[in-house]
Amino acid sequence: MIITAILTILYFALRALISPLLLLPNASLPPEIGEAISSVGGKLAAIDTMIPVGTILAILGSFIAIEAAIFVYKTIMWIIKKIPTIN
Amino acid sequence: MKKNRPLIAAVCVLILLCGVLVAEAALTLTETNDTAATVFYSWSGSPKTTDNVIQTFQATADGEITSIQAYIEDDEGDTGTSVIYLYGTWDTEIAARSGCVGGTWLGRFDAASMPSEKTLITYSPNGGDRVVTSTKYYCLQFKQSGSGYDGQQWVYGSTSNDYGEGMATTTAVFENPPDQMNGVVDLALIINGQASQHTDEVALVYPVSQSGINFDFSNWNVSFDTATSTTATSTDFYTIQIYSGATSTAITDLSGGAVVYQSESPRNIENNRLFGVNTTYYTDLELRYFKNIYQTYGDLVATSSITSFITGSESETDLGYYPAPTSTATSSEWTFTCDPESGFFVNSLCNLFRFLFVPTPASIERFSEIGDLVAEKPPFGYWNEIKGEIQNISTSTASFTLSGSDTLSENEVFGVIRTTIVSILWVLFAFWILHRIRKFDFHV
Repeated sequence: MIITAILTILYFALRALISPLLLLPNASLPPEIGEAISSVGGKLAAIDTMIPVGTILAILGSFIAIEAAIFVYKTIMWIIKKIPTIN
Repeated sequence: MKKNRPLIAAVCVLILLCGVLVAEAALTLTETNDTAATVFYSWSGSPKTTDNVIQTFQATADGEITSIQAYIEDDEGDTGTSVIYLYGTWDTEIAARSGCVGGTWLGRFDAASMPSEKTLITYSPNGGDRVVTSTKYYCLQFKQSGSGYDGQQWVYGSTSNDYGEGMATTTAVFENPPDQMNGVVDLALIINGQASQHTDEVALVYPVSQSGINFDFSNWNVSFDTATSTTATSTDFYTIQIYSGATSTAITDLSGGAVVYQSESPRNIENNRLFGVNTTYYTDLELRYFKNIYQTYGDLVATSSITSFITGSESETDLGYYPAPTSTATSSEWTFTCDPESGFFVNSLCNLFRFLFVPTPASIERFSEIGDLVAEKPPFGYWNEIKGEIQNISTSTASFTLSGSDTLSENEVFGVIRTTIVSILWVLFAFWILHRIRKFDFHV
């Protein structure tokens, strides 16, 4: 009952939040981007025997994830600062 | 309050992270456990040495017998050979155990040596395909010769064919098997002539979402409350339980409303019941847990919503021969239930908590609808497309070959160097994380 009610509220909130997105056309990447990524993939596969490309990509992904988390943290802090009673 | 801002921010991040995880779980809920499940027909009991193994069938349309298959299992690795004879044609149904007496001998299908493990053997008709005539009755007789059968040269069995309509496959059901240890322990004759799509499936749901409950799943079973109509009254439902340890179980009367319980335990999906051929069954499934071998019915752990499965025209042998059925439905179809035998107070409290805190499956499942709605819309659509393209990188083939790279990858010294480079990269990354945390201003 309680969890169901919370989930229902959350569902309708999310539904309201995404409703503007539904008016947009479906996203499609320009073919050049796909070709560029596959081209890079081919080149990375060629040098993978000498340079650990997989490790570099994993570290790069972790780096982006951490920086994104820091960005979210700073954004939340910025929002909190805007609340008069807390600031 | 200002001092608490980092704490509030950290809690918000944590809530966001939990939200993402919950949303991810909700989105993938309907995509997991999507493996086909199958229910097979089989005889009950464990026939030993057989005697006049005969199976009859009626042709419903003109056609050809392209092959005859047999699942055979011998219990002690006997070395005999087996033969299947085809007899026909009768205008009236052949009485059970009357044998193939009086019929015209139409063909002989020689088999290989008896397998020590259950094996599907295909017999090609001698002299080309055998044409069967519409509405006529036919008879298959299985015979076996060789050593290892307590000195018998020919081993016979007696069968009746309860589900023998049509030219497709049927199952031979052994009755009153002699109590001997050597010989055929399992046999089904399958006639291939017309296309028979194997469609018998049943949706079983393992309660993967209940892994936190203290059930070890070493003693459990799945019960089927089945009916041939969703509008059937409660008396039309009956229980079929799949269990182990059966020795002489009678075939369930599918047309009646009788509830069948068996007391053998521990229970699991290894043995079998007979289902009607080409029939749609509606069922809600129950998962029951058995604390010990003395429990007859077990504790009800979970139930599913009503689902259906269609039995095919192809009969199969022992369910235990096949992997246990897995899910075709979602774990969200399961709901927690309270044990009515746990006492009024405990049961009431359980029901109260269940009512208050257990969400309905529908309230969870509709989150997947949101994921589907925005999956192709910007900006998520772009992200999904780029993610798909990036995932293809791992399967990319090299667009060029560096000179000497072929021999380099096989060089042992270079392997050590490469491993060292990988280690150095991770260590540098760890140092960067430490530096980032040390210099980070949590009061930003």
